[in-house]
Amino acid sequence: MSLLERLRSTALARVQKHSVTSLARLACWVALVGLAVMAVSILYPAPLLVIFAMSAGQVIGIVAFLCYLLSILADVVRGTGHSPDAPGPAQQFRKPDAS
Amino acid sequence: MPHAGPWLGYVALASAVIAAAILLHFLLKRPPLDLRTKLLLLLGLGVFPTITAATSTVAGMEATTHREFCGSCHTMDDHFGNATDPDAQSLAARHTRNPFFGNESCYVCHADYGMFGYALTKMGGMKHVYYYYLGGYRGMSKEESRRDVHIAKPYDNNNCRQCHTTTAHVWRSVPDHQATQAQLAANKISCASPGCHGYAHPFSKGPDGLGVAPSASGHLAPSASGHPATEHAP
Repeated sequence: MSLLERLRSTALARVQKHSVTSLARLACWVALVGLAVMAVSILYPAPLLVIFAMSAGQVIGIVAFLCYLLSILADVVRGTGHSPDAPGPAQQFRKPDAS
Repeated sequence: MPHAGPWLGYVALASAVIAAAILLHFLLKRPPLDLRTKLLLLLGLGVFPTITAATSTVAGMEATTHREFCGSCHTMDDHFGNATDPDAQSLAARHTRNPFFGNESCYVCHADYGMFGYALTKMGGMKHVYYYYLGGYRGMSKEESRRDVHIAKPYDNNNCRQCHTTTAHVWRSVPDHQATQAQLAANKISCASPGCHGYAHPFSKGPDGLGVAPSASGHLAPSASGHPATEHAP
């Protein structure tokens, strides 16, 4: 295996290991921002805040949900072949039942 | 638009808090991304934020109909103050004291009616926000705004006729109404004219925009626009 192929496989493994949870966490942070914008517009309904919440706030929320969907998609695509320390549904790495 | 009341805002805030709690739990506790966590995240990122977005949009739109919202720009201070003055006798003040108008007297009188009236009114409101923040209104003094800021288009008599029917016998029996019926229908004469029911916001009229001086007889003098019976602004 050439150095280039080894680097590529390492990079791919890293991406597979981290992308799902990172994307999910990113979605959470982005959604928190969107929720804060919408909540502030309810508490202080000033013109700019209301307009910002109805436009940018909702776009931020949609971006967060898309990140979440992307993370789910990435989780499905990576299947069970990722490393055991990566959080995910990989059944082959789960601890066997005590029974 | 139906009056949703304050409970809609509470629903929006409650769903935002629930969603935030789910998201913070995931961020801080870092549970494995198993099916249960994914479903929780679906609630925190999809279901509850959707409820928040929908209810906050309706609540926000309703907030834009409140008089305090209209009066939140300083160029509307005088209009707001006059409308809410319990001693004022202007059309705006008298209508504001009417419980039917409630807290939405600006909106009820200035909203466009008809099938797309609500959307058109909100588009007009966006124009106001643009003028205020990017069109130089924000930096105006009150005197400048009184002189330079005018209603965008002639006030439509249909807005008055939403409540004051022009088909009832009482209305038709007034000689001035009979004589000007065609002009009223065509908006050639405004109901809110000094010769008729008076300006809605009389302090903002006159050649310098600083109010119309009452004549010796106590009636408002005609404006300097050459159309004494109309409230038409440039």
